[in-house]
Amino acid sequence: MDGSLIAEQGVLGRSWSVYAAEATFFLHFLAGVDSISRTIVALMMLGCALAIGFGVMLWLEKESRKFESNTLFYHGFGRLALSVMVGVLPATALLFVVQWLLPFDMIDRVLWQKGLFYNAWLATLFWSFYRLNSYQAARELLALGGVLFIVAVGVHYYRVGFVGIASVIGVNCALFFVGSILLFIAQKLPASFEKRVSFWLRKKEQV
Amino acid sequence: MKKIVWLLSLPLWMYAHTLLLHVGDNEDGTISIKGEFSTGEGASGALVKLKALGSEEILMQQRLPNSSEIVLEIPKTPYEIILDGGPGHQVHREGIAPKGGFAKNTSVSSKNATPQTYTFPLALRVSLALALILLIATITISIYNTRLVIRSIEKKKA
Repeated sequence: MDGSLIAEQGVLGRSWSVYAAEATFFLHFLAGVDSISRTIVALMMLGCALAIGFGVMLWLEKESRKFESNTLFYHGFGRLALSVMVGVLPATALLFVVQWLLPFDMIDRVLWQKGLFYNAWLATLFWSFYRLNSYQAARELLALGGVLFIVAVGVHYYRVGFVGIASVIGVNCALFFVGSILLFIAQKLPASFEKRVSFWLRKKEQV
Repeated sequence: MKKIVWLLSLPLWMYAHTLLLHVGDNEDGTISIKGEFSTGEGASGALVKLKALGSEEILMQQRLPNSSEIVLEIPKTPYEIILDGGPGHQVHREGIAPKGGFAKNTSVSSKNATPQTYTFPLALRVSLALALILLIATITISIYNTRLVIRSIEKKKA
């Protein structure tokens, strides 16, 4: 009890990993942040995700040009990118479905949900490698995601019934909307080689 | 343009929120537990568990009613309060002791108790096993398909 300083920890005297963790937690929870700032952060994150996605696709496009146009392009990173970017959609949709499907008093419910989510995502990686035609794999994953998002809305109404709270209705509408868009894209995306060529040529001609 | 504005406003509906847990001692052998989100919305439906400290035993569990607040009897053994509001939204807090403190015999027995061997939960074991199977299957199918593609290219060249 002599008032001597035991240890001094400055706010900026932490390692970079602490800053990274703090920033991640803050960006995930955004506690005490207003809706406008949340929207700006969400849009910035969306922009970053799209930039990375398009960057990877441009690089893969360059890689595929090394081969003749009618040669099948079976690239490991391309399949991984397909699973990461498109496969996350059905995995996320499954998370919404199991949220309302699993019994609420189930032991380790959250752990089961997490396990199902990551395994569903891994299953999409398997499917991306399994299908030689990546367009077909993308179509199937998009369609599965679309169906699961719409099913999630149905399961929610089946388990809970109609809840007249604006935010709940808003989320259900958004899920249904996203599911419908995914089904639409899946239906529009060409699968066979001939259709693919004519699809992209038609786009070019329109420009 | 309208469609773009409408799409951009979607995140407003789905912003992230933090789950908050308030615990108050009613001084009559009970505690009041209230759950709410940082956005001000109540956490009705979230699961409240009273778990014994030092073991996995659940002493009591109940869902929050529409008022988002429940009153529970204070357990005799040391415990922690868990508020489970779904994935990513779980709050823990050490439980308030009853007026006379926790029962002594439990603390003695917990000291004398043999150390428990920690077992991985079934969910974790199943998930990891499934993940391993999927990874092996992915690598196998990748090798198989790569050979198939190489063979078809060689055939074309020939």
